[in-house]
Formats: sequence, C-alpha cells, structure tokens
Amino acid sequence: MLNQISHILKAIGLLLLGAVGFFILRSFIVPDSFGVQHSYIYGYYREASDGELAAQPTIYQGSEACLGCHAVAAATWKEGKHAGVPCESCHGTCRAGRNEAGQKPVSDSSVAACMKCHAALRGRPVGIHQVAALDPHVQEKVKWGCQVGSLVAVDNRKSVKEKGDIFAQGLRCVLCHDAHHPLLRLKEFAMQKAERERLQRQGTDNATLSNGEKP
Amino acid sequence: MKTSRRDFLKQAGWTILGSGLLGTVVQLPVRSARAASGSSEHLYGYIVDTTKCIGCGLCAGACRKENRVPEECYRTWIEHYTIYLDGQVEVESPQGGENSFAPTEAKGKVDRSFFVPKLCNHCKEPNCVQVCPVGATYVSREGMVLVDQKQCVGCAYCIQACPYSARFMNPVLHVADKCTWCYHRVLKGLKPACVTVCPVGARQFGRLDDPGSPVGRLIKEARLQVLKPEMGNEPMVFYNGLDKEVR
Ligand code: HEC
Ligand code: HEC
Ligand code: HEC
Ligand code: HEC
Repeated sequence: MLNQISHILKAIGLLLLGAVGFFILRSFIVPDSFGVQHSYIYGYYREASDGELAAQPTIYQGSEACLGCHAVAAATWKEGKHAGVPCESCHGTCRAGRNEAGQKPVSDSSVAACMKCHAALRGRPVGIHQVAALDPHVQEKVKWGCQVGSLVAVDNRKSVKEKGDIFAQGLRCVLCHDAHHPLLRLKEFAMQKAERERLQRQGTDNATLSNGEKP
Repeated sequence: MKTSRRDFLKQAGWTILGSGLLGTVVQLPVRSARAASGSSEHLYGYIVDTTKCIGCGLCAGACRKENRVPEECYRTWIEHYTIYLDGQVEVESPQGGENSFAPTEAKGKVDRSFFVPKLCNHCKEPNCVQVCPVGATYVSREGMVLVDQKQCVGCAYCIQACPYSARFMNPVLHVADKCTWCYHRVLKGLKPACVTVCPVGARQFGRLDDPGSPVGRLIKEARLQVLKPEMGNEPMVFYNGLDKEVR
C-alpha cells in the first residue's frame, strides 16, 4: 500500500521536475513577445523582425526635402496650380542630384507625362481638368494659345481639322504651360496679347493720322 | 493486483491534484509574458477617397520603388470600375494601374465609373495571421500586419486566407510578401510612399486618435465604409464613396 503511493509520488515528482526544467529552459529560449494573445488568435510575434523591417531605407522624402536645393523651381511651384502635386509625383526621388538608382532624376516633359493625370478617362473625377489631345475644345484652346503667344510654331492659318493631331507631331504641353506653374506663361501670353493689341491700336491711330484714311 | 475502492479514490485524488498543479505552472509563464508585452494596439488608419482618385497610378509606382517590389507583383494597385446601365460590371487593372489607364471605348451605356485603389487592409482580426503555421506573420505593436521573412516558409496559406488578395508570393525571396503600410517610414514619422506621391489627396494615412490629422478627423466626420465587412476581419483601411459593386 505505502509502497504503491511512493511509486506514484516518485512519478509525480519526476513529472514536476521535468516540467520545471522545461519552463526554465523555455523562458530563456522563447522571446517574451512570442505568442501574445490577440483576441481569439495568437498574435505570433518576433520582436527582432520589427527592427529588421524598420531598418529598411526610406526612398521618398516628401516635397519639403526638395525646397532647399531647388529654391527657384519650388518658388514657382508654390504659386501655381500644381502646388498640391508633390515634387516626387513627377520627378521621382532625388538626393543631391541622383535618384534611388543612382541616375539623374527624371524630368519628363512629354505629353504622356501630363496625360497620366490630365487625360480624359471614363470615371476620372471632374475636379481635375482633363484634356483629350484631339478634343476640339483643347484644339481651340491651343489655337488661342498660338495666337496670343509667339512661342509656339504651329501654323494657325490652317484649321484644326487640317492640322490633325498637333501633339502627335511633336508639340509638347510645356511649350505653353510651365510644368511647375501651368498657368504662368498663359498669363504672360495674355499680357503680350493685350500689349500687342494696344500697340496695334496705337499703330492704327497713327496710321489714320498720317494717311488721313482708315486702314 | 486488487485495488480497493479506498485506494482507487486516493490515487484519483492525487492525479487530479497533480495535474491541476501542473496546469497552473504551465499557465504562469505564458500569462506573465502576455502581461509584459501587452496586446497590439491599432493606432493607425488609412483612408482611400474613391471620389478623388484619378487613376494616375503613381502610388503603385512609388510603392514599387520604395519597397523594391518585384516586377508583376503589386502591394497596392488600382482597379477601374465601369458599371453599365444593364447592370454589367467591368473591372480592369492593367499592370495594376501602375502606368495609368488608356482611354478605352465603353462597351455600352455607362451608368457610373470610378477608380478604387486597393492595398492590405491591416485588419484587426487578420485571417492571414491566424492561419500561419510557423508564426511568421504577426500584428505589430502599432497594429500593422507584417511578415517575418526569415521565419516564413512560403506555404502560401496566408495568401489563400486573405479575402482581399492583398498578399502574393515574392518570386525572388519565395516568401509571402505584402504591403507594410511602409512600416519603416511610419516609424520615422513619414507617410507611406503611396500617400506621399498622391497628387489629389485620395490616400490619407495617420493616427486614429489624433483629431488634428486628416484621418482622425475624417474617421469621425465622413461616413466611411470598409471592403467586405461581412468577413468580420475589421479592416483598418476605410473607403469614402465606396460603390456597392466594389468587391
Ligand atoms: C542636396 C541638394 C538636393 C536636394 C535635397 C534635392 N536635389 Fe534635385 N538635384 C540636386 C543637384 C545637385 C542636381 C543636379 C544633378 C546633375 O545635374 O547631375 C539635381 C537635379 C535634379 C533634377 C534634374 C534637373 C534637370 O536639369 O533635369 C530634378 C528633376 C530634381 N533634382 C528634383 C528634385 C526633387 C524632386 C527633390 C526632392 C525630393 C530634390 N531634387 C532634392 C540637388 C538636390
Ligand atoms: C506636374 C509635374 C511636376 C511637379 C509637381 C514638379 N515638377 Fe519639376 N519639372 C517638371 C517637368 C515636366 C520639368 C521639365 C520642364 C521642361 O522641360 O520644360 C521639370 C523641371 C524641373 C527641374 C529642372 C530645372 C527647371 O527648373 O526646369 C527641377 C530642378 C525641378 N523640376 C524640380 C522640382 C521641384 C523641386 C518640385 C517640387 C517643389 C517640382 N519640380 C515639381 C514637372 C514637375
Ligand atoms: C501627378 C498628376 C499631374 C501631372 C503629371 C500633371 N498635372 Fe496638371 N494638375 C494636376 C492637378 C492635381 C491639378 C489641380 C487640379 C486642376 O485644376 O485640374 C492640375 C492643374 C493643372 C492646370 C490648371 C488647370 C486649371 O485651370 O485650374 C494645368 C493647365 C495643368 N495642370 C497642366 C499640366 C501640364 C501641362 C502637365 C505636364 C507637364 C501636367 N499638368 C501634369 C495634376 C497633374
Ligand atoms: C499652344 C499652347 C498650349 C499647348 C501646347 C497646350 N495648352 Fe493647355 N491651355 C492653353 C491655353 C491658352 C489654355 C486656357 C487657359 C485659360 O483658360 O486660362 C489651356 C488650358 C489648359 C487646361 C485647363 C483646362 C480647362 O478646361 O480650363 C489644362 C488642364 C491644359 N491646358 C492642359 C494641357 C495639356 C495636358 C497639354 C498637352 C497635351 C496642353 N495643355 C497643351 C494652351 C496650351
């Protein structure tokens, strides 16, 4: 009888000893944060992984980072309609003149670059001004741009239809629109136009005076 | 061997006592560990405004560069929805929308159309964490669902478990890969790369408990929705202007 109980006690003692040993070992091996209860599941968690992920280098920096070195571009940008568009949306990254691949940052002034945001797409919110290169509305605008500005070498004596897709023929948006301040040059154009009209009026006034007849 | 009733009861008593003691000892260290590190908090929220998204795809491109995402894999992507008057739904996402969308001809009378950017929802109750057999995917202290790429064995259970298809198999490392909400940037006080480059503010990220941040404010003011609420995952990416056809 007593013999039997001592057997059982020995077995239980051994078990307890094993359990204590196991937990002492476990407390050393398993990190504290492993197996944190997260509602009905165990949120398995290895703390070192946090650090490894956090150590990943950052690439994009935000527009504020560019302002110091590119003060001129930034000053124009701040004034214009593109002020809400971050520098890095158009240029990608630049750290002291090199992007993340070690190359010169992109400065894409192609029509396609503008059309990424401005192409007329189905479902694109109307809050952003949209253009379709062959849209007569735009062609009209462009004609107007040509008339007021002297910069664009488009033959505006021909009608839009005859000209065809002027953008396919190499005309770029940045000829009329400053990429950083898209309405800047348009203002200049308008001023030039007003100035020319004023001069023209003066000219005709003078002409009337000298010739004695209306031109 | 003959056992009397008395002996049997005695032995049974000892066994019960012993196993009870053992159970307590087993529980103690686990409990203390839990108390020590505390549960993860869901501090951050992400808001996608589908009424603002123009589908330029710059977010997906920035994500690829920031996180060196392999080609043809997407941690975030944009879906272009077109819903026709006859009820047909068309969803397209060429190259994840990374190079924007080509103006396509509508296949009928269009009822409504919009862009829906998608990414990992960093759910409060993530299926993917639950199914991982090796504990490689977990919820960080800040509430981000992350993958420990050293621990991951690439079984792809989590990829199947995700109701939002936000995970993919990294073809270079052969482990599960997903959006981290730019964990490395957020810890440094920066916004995720996709939020940084969005030209129209369709993507917002910030602390939920900060009433000064757009996210803290919008979460209270705007009536936001989540994707597939019926799954019970409690996503932490909230959508404004979500159409019922979006899945
Ligand atoms: C430490 C100063 C510095 C900072 C900060 C900086 N850049 Fe630059 N960046 C330069 C220098 C120097 C060059 C000229 C590189 C060359 O010509 O090889 C340059 C070139 C460029 C160019 C090319 C210009 C051209 O002529 O084509 C672009 C675009 C540009 N940076 C954009 C940015 C943007 C966007 C940021 C902010 C993310 C930025 N830079 C931040 C120094 C800086
Ligand atoms: C809407 C897109 C867009 C945004 C936003 C933008 N840029 Fe540009 N940037 C361009 C384009 C396009 C060019 C090339 C202009 C050209 O070739 O006429 C350019 C040219 C430049 C250049 C070359 C030198 C110059 O002034 O022409 C620098 C430097 C530059 N950008 C810096 C910046 C910085 C800094 C910001 C943010 C403050 C910024 N850009 C924002 C599109 C953009
Ligand atoms: C990353 C997206 C993006 C790119 C690329 C971009 N824009 Fe814009 N643009 C905008 C946003 C956003 C606005 C402000 C909303 C609006 O007024 O349409 C804007 C406004 C404008 C406006 C003013 C419209 C108005 O009357 O208010 C013009 C003009 C314009 N952009 C021309 C261009 C040109 C030209 C280019 C190519 C160099 C270009 N944009 C590239 C996003 C972009
Ligand atoms: C020949 C000059 C010229 C060219 C080239 C040109 N534009 Fe314009 N654009 C104009 C003028 C002029 C306006 C009218 C501005 C105004 O109404 O104040 C205008 C207006 C705009 C607007 C505002 C639209 C609106 O409805 O008010 C956008 C956006 C725009 N242009 C984008 C572009 C894009 C993108 C390109 C390249 C595909 C481009 N432009 C090429 C001259 C030009």
